[in-house]
Amino acid sequence: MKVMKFGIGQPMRRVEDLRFITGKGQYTDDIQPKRATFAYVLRSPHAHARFKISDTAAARAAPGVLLVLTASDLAHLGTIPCNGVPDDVDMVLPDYPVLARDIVRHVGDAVALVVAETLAEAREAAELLEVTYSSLPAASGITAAMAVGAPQVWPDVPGNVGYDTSMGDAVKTEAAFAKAAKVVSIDVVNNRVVANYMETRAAIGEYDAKRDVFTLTTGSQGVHGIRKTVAQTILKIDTLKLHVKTPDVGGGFGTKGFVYREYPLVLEAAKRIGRPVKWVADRSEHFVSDAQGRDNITTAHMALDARGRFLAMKVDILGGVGAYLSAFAPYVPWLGMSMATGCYDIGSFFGRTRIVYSHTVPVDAYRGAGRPEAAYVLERLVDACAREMKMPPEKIRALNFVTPKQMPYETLTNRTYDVGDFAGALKAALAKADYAGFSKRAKLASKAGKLRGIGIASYIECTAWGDGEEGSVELRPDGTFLMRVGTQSNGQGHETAYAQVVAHYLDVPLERIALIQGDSVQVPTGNGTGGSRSIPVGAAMLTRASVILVKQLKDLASDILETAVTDLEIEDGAIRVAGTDRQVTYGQIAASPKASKAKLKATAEFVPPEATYPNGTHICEVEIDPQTGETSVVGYHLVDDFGMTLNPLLLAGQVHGGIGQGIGQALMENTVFDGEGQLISASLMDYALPRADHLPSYDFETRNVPSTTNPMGLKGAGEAGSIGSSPAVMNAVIDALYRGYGITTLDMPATPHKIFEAIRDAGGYR
Amino acid sequence: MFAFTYHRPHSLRSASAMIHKVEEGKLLAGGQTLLPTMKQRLAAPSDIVDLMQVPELKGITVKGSTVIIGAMTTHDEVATSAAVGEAIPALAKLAGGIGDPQVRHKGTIGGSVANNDPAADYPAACLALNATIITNKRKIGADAFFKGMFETALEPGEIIKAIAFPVPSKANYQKFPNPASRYAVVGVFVAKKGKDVRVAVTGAGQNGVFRARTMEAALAVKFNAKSLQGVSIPADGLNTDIHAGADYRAHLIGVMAKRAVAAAV
Repeated sequence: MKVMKFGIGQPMRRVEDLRFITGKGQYTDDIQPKRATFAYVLRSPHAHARFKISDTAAARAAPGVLLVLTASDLAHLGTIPCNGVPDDVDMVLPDYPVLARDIVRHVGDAVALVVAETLAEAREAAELLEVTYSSLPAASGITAAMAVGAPQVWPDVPGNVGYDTSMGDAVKTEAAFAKAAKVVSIDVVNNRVVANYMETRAAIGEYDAKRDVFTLTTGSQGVHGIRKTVAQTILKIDTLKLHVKTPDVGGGFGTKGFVYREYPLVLEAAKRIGRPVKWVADRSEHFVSDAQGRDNITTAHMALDARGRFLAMKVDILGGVGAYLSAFAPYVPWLGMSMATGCYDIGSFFGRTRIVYSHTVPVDAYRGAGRPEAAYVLERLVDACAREMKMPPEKIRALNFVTPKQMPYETLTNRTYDVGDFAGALKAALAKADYAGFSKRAKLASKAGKLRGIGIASYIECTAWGDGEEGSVELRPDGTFLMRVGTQSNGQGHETAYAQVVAHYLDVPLERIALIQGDSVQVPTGNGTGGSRSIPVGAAMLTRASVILVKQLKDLASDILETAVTDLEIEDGAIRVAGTDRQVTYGQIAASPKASKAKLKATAEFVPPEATYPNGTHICEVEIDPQTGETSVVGYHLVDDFGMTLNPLLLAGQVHGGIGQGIGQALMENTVFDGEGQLISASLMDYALPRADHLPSYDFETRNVPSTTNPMGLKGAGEAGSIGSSPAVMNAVIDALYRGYGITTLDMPATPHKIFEAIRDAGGYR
Repeated sequence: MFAFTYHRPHSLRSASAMIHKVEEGKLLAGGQTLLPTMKQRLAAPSDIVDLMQVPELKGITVKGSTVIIGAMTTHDEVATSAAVGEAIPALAKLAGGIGDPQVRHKGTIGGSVANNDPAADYPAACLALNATIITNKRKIGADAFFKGMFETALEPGEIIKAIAFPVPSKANYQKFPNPASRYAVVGVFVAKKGKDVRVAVTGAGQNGVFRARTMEAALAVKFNAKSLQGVSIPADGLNTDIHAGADYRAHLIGVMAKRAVAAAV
């Protein structure tokens, strides 16, 4: 097919940006329904306590108060379900009630909802609620929760271990370790992070008594999943009795994809008071009421032969899930285990994963969800292997990579990589990074009193597996097109990316192709945005729909122009008889008496048969000021295989943002609970997010090998940046510290304080 | 935020009258600390007396070898003032490194000094430059003014009019910022005026800003970074929090002080 000027592969600017940068974005908090009331959630100040609400009368009588809800008012509601139990795992699913009953289990646990005419009145009234807490000992974090005699989060989960499962061949792996020339072991912490999207969560509940229909408006990652869970499981109503709408969304990162307590609460409250109920989280609430990310402690071992070949690998993963099981929490560490062997061809593998409850904020999927954790463990381990074998890190990687000839490659964790050229990406990245010139740069840095280090991370991840997408493209009476897709942009730019697919087939400017998303009535089905699926699944579906629509429109044009379909071509927003100026515009086709609604609309579905496997190599270069412990990222080069590129600008945006999150996690983001389970880093005054001046310019290019699991060859790109980056940064930091002081390990975040302590402990200041 | 009564006086005299008349009044001098505290309901003043429209509190003047900065001068005004930049470049640089542009356009020098946040930048400048805090009642030397964490010599209702900074022969401020808040984890202001050397440390002390006398003595002998070799500040009495332990702060004081001496102009 010829290259279309607005179509696939073109670096189109985002059509949604004019709206966003001129302040015309419409986020949940921008919506002010008539007669709106305002809700405030009273939250626990204790990590673990028995509590009693002895009196609500004063709060109910306070000025402006319309409703007070506590757990005893909600006996008719279901609990928040967990849908992420891995296959073959048997586990207890503790209750996650809409409001806490009798016991609070983390700071921020929701205790009561107060609705008033104004938010200030709701807050004032909440302070009048008489809540007596008798505090109980708390297990603050994974290590405390695993200690002998630790306080129990759930009575029916002894030892706080939610499940204990394994993968691979223990016997074969032990045998390989027994005859290994070298065994290399590491312990790593994957630090807990707080999503901190710019737009905090918000929800508006409405109830139409005449039709007995609820409407929930909330910033989400897909309306249909939320509709199903809130309607069927929690409110116990027919799915069609709940309409879920999502307007513009200011960041999601996985965290905005889950059902949270406030969603059923505002709906229940709206029904009770007969008016819209609005709730908006403030930043402090975000820190204690939204699921957090990562939080793993892992031990990993590699058995090597004398040449440096990987004979066998073992991992033992502890995945923190916090106090309650959020939507996919148990699945995330298991997913990580399933990607544990990464890009490498390893003789045998055994993995064990346990999830661990503690009296902390729940943890769930966050950009990459298990895959960044896996890549982090593996790439730290591979660097440790290189050091102990005295091999260059790039050589030990190249020696052990799965080769293109081995594709399709069955991993020891039951995955099938269809295609990929890992060594090719590594080689290209080394060239981009002028890896050979590093020692010269390190010498120069040393003269300036700095320690320079370089770190490699070769990653592979899995995206866009499981459910499909069904959607449609239609020609409207005015000659413009409308797409309906059940995914949800959180800022990625779906309006642009999807329009490019349709433009590719219909040759119209992007401005004439509109997207409807985020509305469970206007888009009948959908599976939302997550796991980097929107482009590999959504765009693949739109390709199919566009091809069908082209055929239907050509049939109509053939009728109108009285010419055979084979003589027709699409050009410049019209269908014309090839080689002539006889044509019919899309507007004329839509207006033609021959056109019916059915002929102007094409519906299609795409269900991916397998995941796609994006991969690549990140190379990070850092300079550490040994006097202060401060790290600067001074170089960042990466080569990624995303199968094919739909829009290089949008793609770069995803990659840059992901790396920014990875650098943030590696160097700055520190979620600290004290021994009592209080979140110490509960505001942006203490929780350090990367700012522009912390981040380098990225030198990024693609080296695509088309995926075989979707018609366009796409691989998901939304999470990859966050997967390759944290290990590349930490390998660079440790490389610098190893060169300077022989330091071989350091946990994230590598804050100046931590680096100071590592250098001090290595005798660097003596 | 709790309800309060807002006042906007147009003279220093009426501001003073108002703050004395009301029950639990607070002076608003930019509000970069007070307003967030009120929003979090950690402070509940009955009345706010906003000093923004008080003309006597504005302006920067240079009189002989003294720079006088009105209390309601914003950080940005100090940072971009040609007069300050010429007379005490270290002070202009300090002001330009406070918070972020939003904070620098609202926050004021008087507000910062009166609040005496233990991690604020200005107290270090006042102490090292031996500034005089001029109030509507009296003049207070910096050594007597800063009394401890969030504590000053100000009496209830006393209003800072201006701060007078003697122009040093050499000065520099080095800050190791908290990566999240950009307050000082450790900030060291070094100033030399004639033979007198003063070194003030902010961000580190449990009682707020303090002078590093051993460093001063070493630098008085010879004003050179090498003079600080081996002069250490004990970790006792320094802060420990999630960003830095007391020993790390002690170490950073040494590093920042040496850098400040080396960079002093």
